[in-house]
Amino acid sequence: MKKFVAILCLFLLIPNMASAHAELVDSQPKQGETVKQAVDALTLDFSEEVKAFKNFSLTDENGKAVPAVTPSVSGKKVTVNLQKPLADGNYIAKWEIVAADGHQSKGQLTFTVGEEKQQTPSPKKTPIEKPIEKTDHTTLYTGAAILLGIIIIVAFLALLKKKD
Amino acid sequence: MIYVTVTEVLLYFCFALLGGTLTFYSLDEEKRPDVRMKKQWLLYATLAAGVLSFAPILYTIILLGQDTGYWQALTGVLFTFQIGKAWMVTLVLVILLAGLIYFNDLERDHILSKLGLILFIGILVTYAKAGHAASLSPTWGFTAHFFHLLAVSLWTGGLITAAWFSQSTERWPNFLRWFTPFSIVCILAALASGFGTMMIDIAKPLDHSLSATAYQYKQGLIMNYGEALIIKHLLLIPLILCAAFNGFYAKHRLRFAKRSPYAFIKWARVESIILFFIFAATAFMGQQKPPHDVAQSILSGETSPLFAALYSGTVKSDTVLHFSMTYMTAIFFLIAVLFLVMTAIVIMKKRSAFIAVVCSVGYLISSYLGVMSGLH
Repeated sequence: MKKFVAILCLFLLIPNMASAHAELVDSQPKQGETVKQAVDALTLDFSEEVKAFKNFSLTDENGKAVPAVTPSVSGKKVTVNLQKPLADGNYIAKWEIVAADGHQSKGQLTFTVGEEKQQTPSPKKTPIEKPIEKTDHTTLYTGAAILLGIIIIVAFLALLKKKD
Repeated sequence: MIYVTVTEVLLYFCFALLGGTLTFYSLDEEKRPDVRMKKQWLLYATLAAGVLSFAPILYTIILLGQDTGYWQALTGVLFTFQIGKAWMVTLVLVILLAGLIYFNDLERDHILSKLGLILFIGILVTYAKAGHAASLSPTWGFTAHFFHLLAVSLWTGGLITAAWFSQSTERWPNFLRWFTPFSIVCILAALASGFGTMMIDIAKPLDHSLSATAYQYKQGLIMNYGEALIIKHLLLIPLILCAAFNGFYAKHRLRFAKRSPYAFIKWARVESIILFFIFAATAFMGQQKPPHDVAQSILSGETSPLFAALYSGTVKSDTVLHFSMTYMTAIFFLIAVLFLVMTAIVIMKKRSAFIAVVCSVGYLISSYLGVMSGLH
């Protein structure tokens, strides 16, 4: 029993080091933002403490990788210093993150550097997307409904038949 | 990741076995069903709980080890990650419980059985400590998840142990006398704490309101987590239907139809098979990314293949799902209700357990397709 009490105390002493699937809550530059000043570093603020930050990549609109200094992690904040300020254009940053409950997740951030062109009111800020294409599933659903209907009739007949 | 889903399902069964048996052992013999649990089985379940709960940690170590080296990953995860630290406490509790079971005859010792039950609850505490909910909200998330685990382990534990390890049904009426109200309390507690856990697990990082949760639930269907969540919720209906028959209808039969006894074990087993599906959906969900930020997940291509196969529209990061009744949806829901009615008839007419399970699965597929066909 003493042992048990000792363990209970041990458990209560464990600090609440909170961390889970860390989501991006704020960043510099922000998601979809057009920045006019020179950008020489990215800061990412996550909802939870970051345990591992890996496979970071920053690519420009032509898909060319931008060299960056190894990201530094402190608590919920990740800072990525760049070797030189970014040229004008659209950028996409990607990363993988591991939180303290052992779960990893991917994330990405898109932003634009330079003057926003006034002729084009909404420039494309999301160069990479993997959308689900529109498809017609009427046949699939009708087939499934008929099949389920048949199963229920067969099951019902099986019930009736076995009756003595 | 699929391995962790399998180990988690096995872990839930170990929890159920331990929760059920230790609860029974801490009661007087006439109140228990006629359960014959070999000492080794209980011991294996305890040790397996320790080993199986290490699986997600091993997965994390392998994940990190590729970059940092395995030794550093092992010490890092065990000593600095919440999941690792919680498991170290789990291990100590598992060793104590295993010792208690090995050196004593718990079946005939109420006091030590109660001590065992406390140790088991301690293991649940450590498991909840390592979960999503606790990491997002250390106080409320942990509390809700823990009570969910406790309620589910004690109720399903009693059910599964009685259904699969009973030798006879002689003492079953006595057992039902306390187990039916006990189950109702557990189910209500599990629903309430499950709702609390869900509020935290699928919430937007900065908005925990009820309307935000409903929105997250709907948008979450685009991801594997949300798909598994709705499948779990749809399965609760046949589970509760089955539980109601095993509790109330069984009692009714005992009182008014003594000549045609209720097949307690058979229908309790059907109930535990539905539970297995729920456990599988839960375990799968635990290994998926929760839908905190669906738009971001769509951008990273983390959409559910099942959703993609059934959804008719285009999905982009700014897609908002809407549900509305169509003819197709109404037909599927009608078929789903018919399957439920069939399940009830099968139980009342004392027919094959197999048909009851088929009807429950039929209900699940129909109601699920009903939901999916109404999304646009």
